[in-house]
Amino acid sequence: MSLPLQDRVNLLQQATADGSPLEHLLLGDRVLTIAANGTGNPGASVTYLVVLESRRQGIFKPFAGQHPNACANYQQDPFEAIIHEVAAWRLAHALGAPWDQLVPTAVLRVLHGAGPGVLINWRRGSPDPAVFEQANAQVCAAAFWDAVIGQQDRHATNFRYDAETRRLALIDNAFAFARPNDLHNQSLFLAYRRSTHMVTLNGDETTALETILDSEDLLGLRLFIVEDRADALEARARDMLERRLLPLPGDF
Amino acid sequence: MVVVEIRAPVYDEESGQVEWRLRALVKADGAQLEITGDTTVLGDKHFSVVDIQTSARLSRSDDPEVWARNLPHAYRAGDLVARVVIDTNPPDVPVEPEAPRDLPIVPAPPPAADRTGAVRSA
Repeated sequence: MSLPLQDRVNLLQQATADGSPLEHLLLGDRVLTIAANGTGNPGASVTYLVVLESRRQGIFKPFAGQHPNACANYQQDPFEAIIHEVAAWRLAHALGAPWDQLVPTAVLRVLHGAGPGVLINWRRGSPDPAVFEQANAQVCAAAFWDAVIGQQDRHATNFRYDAETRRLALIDNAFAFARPNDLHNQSLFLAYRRSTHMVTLNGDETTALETILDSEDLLGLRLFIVEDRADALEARARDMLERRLLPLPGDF
Repeated sequence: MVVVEIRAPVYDEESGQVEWRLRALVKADGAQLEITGDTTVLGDKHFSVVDIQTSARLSRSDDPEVWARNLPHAYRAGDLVARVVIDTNPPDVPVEPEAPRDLPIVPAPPPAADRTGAVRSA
């Protein structure tokens, strides 16, 4: 049985005790300015650009800002979708490189004027397909990541690549931790690995799966996300480890 | 006809204000689709979105107008924002309001003194 949402929020916040320096900065740095994206579409998901005193930038998604129809399409709860951003980061943080370099740091925070939500570190770049030519190892790691977390919507603009630093960022992990038969739109990186016949898991990937499965609570995920989503992730990880293969896109 | 602008927020240090810069403009009229500006922010021709009304997955070639109308729901990350500026045929089905719920309370993070043990490089 899943813990109540508030309990999981509390546990996520407690988990920042082992957080990275950037996590601590996002949690505590003073907000210099916050600006709503000013969308003209009623009901569209609400986001804010946040500039911190350190001049680091972030994107803030309030709990109350998720579009209900979009969430319904993906069989996601609006509040849980916000939790997923932080849960995904916590999993990446626990797994370490390369995944903690791909997933933007995300923390729960209350911002004046916007309420409670998730503050996500800004990652430079654009949805630049050059990543497939220039950063193949990161693309492969991204495919593994999307498979493990059950990413439902890694479409052609749902990543950022900074060609100058050659860094890939896997933005928007709200619609993730999918269960079997949940809606799947796209999985760009998984499709790439399949099209290039790189579906066999490498040593780092099998070790990551073993680390997840050997932990008592899926590296903390069971404390953060609802039970059926955690169960689905565990089953997916076991299946991947047994087969030593990436799943088909959308095979949650 | 649907016209959608894709824009990005930029913080101006001098003014201390956030400005929105237009990155691309999408105009869909029936089967006609015109994209101007930085086309990379719209991905390739296979960039599919989920129709907010039907849950159907569609790419630009399936139905340019419906595809364009749904772009705001595909750009959820916040650094690029799609905004419908003209829609001559807005969808009939209203957006379903979410029932009011109590927002979770985000507690203060653990004190700094408790967070110095296992700090990893970011």
